[in-house]
Amino acid sequence: MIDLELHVQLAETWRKPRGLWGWLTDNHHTTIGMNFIVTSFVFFLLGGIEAILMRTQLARPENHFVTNDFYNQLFTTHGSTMMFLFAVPMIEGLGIYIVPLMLGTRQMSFPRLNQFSYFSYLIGGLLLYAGFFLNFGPDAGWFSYVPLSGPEFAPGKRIDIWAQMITFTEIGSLGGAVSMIATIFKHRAPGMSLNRMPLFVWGELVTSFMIVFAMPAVMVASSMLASDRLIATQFFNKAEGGDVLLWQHLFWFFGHPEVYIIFIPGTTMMSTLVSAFTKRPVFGYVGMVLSLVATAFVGFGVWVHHMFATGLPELGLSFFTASSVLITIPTAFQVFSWIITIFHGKFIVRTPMLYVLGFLFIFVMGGLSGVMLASTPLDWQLHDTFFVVAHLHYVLIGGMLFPLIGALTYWFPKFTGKMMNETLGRWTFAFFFVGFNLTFFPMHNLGLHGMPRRVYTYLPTMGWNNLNMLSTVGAYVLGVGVLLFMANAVISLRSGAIAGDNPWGSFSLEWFTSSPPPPYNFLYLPTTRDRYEIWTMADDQPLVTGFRPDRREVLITKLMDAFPDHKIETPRPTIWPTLLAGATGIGVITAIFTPWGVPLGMLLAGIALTGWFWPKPPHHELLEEQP
Amino acid sequence: MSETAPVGRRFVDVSELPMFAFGPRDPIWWGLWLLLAIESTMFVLLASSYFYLRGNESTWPPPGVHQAPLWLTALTVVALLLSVIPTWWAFRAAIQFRLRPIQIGFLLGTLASAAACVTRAYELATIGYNWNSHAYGSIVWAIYFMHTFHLTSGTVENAVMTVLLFKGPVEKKLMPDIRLSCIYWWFVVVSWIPFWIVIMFDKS
Repeated sequence: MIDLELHVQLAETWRKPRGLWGWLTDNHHTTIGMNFIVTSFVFFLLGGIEAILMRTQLARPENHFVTNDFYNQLFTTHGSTMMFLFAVPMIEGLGIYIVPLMLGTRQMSFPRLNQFSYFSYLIGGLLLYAGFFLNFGPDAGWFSYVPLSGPEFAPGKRIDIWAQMITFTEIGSLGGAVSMIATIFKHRAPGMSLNRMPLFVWGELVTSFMIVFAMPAVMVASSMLASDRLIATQFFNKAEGGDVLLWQHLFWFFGHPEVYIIFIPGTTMMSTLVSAFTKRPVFGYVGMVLSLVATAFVGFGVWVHHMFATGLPELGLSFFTASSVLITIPTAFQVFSWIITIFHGKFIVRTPMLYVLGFLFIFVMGGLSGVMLASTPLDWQLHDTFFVVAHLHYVLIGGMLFPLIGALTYWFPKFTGKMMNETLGRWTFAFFFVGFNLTFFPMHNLGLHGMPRRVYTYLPTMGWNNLNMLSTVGAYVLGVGVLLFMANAVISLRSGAIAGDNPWGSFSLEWFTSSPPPPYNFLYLPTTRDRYEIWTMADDQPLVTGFRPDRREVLITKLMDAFPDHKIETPRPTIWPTLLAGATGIGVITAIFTPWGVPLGMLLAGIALTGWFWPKPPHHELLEEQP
Repeated sequence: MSETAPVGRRFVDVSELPMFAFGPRDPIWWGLWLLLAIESTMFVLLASSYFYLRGNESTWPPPGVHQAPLWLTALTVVALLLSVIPTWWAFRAAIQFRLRPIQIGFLLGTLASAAACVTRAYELATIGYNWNSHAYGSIVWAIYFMHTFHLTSGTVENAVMTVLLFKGPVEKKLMPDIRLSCIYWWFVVVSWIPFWIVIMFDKS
């Protein structure tokens, strides 16, 4: 069979359904990945608009641009959006799109689970914004501390919307994480042993494991909160033996790992960009991997540093200070490794590389203010002030958004087949970098001068006027940066330079196929013989052959050494996972108003699951015995 | 029919590889254990919350708490444990590709799990406090809810699997899934034991 004939057959087998029905039924990893990326970017824009509105309100003292109630909704929705609807889904979506290509496979392990995850997440996001646009958005902050968010102090349905949004998005994250781990373990190209995986894949793997163990905590917590509010359970009611700090423990047992869930993939995007634009492997591969794993482990042992001001025993405070400071060791190892790599390699200044430099500056700043906050006495002073706001934005925007924008610029040619405009890209970076520092650096000083976070206005005599105005100007500059990035994407999509397969001369297997990749990803699956697969390929590197082109067959390899083991057939497009998400959605949204939503949801989900798993007409080998 | 290699290149031919595998070779095996990791984390967090709330109290459970009768709760445990025996037959037979023991194993396993659902229903009906009585009631009912959720969904899954096994046709590649269904069911059984002991016997 010649290549063209094979191409035609594979293209038919892996054909992506089109239109609305296609969107609802397709489970190909590039489709689901792009759905996640686009949707989470839209939520990022919404979260950004909320930020601009908040900064506009705070620009001057005693401003009446928005009401205090709306301001509360703004900061709650902004935080919840950025954490739950933007950062984690964006990272998962990028992983779902890129990782299978990096592994040299045609599909992920559980495509329908990915599809279900996406629609669960989408329903959760729409639920939050339905509340927000109807002016009953949640208003107790993105971590919804009880008793403020409990039935006594937050009547109405605002907090219930928040709690159920959490349920949805966490179901989505968990499903994506399970699929990601199985794919990374079992779908790697022959030759790609664990110790040769690209660092970005390592990052997604470690992150997915963190999701598996962290997300259940917030689901348990939000379920307790919802049931306290709906059926009068007493988890957080002191009068009946409940405990408000239980909420904080459960929430931050999720919440702090969440920070690393967001930032570990950011660091591995960094490693990817550093290698691609210095044309050399990142220094200390094994150390880099161990740093990721160490960060993940330690990340589960630091949650109480969010609770230093709650009156915990002193021994506990010392322990959590020590473990928080411990995080600097693996992080510093990574930072120094990037610097060494840049120092020794070529230094190709393209837009993504600018974000690498921006990351180094901003993230190290955020890390240092983190070390400050890890010290209990200082934390007592700065708790709930703008210093914390500055710190967390330096870490999260520096640690995740800068690498992300760099990575999106880097992978844009793979997604679309077009290059992003370089000049516009540099201007975008300039606005990002200047705007970011202008917005958030003054917040350190505001915090040191005692300005508390989450106040909708302040008196002119407090001495905070100029710094607030500066910060607001910065927010607008940053906003222009985001607009420029979008304009660049639209212009480049229409009239950008044709990219070709590997425009950056990069190293990992996603560049081993055309841009954008065909629906079957690779005409012949690749094999690898070392890290930095493309750079180290032999001239006559073997390809994999022997799949039935009329079925969606995928190669499964051994866990450690990626030796070819068996094949599986992955499912074609189907509506059932979307229906399951819809069924869960009906149940959970009904449960905002009546506990009967739970059995209703279980019944509908049971029907959808039966449809999902009902066997197709058999076309594989049958058992010798039959009923 | 399968692809053939392009002329003039070395290639790895995978056309003869099997279409399924057992154990950790199988991606779904990983999927299941990750699901169990998620579920276990939830159970552990519920247990942690239980002991966290317990730490605030001098008498635990609060005065006036009446549990479901011990013999009734023990009946549920017995039914759960009994269900392990036939599902173990099915588990073993699946790797030998023998249909009959799998059918019988799943039929009996489903009956035992259905029996556990019935006694669980009576248990819930006889618990002498409500989820809104106090924090103790809330956490114990949460544990009951979580486990009963798994119990019923596991029973439905066993029942559907039994129907499919008797209806046929049965493909060989269903055999790894049979084993995974058994493992999931055993998780439902095993996860209850520590909770049962704590709810029934933990008093201060």
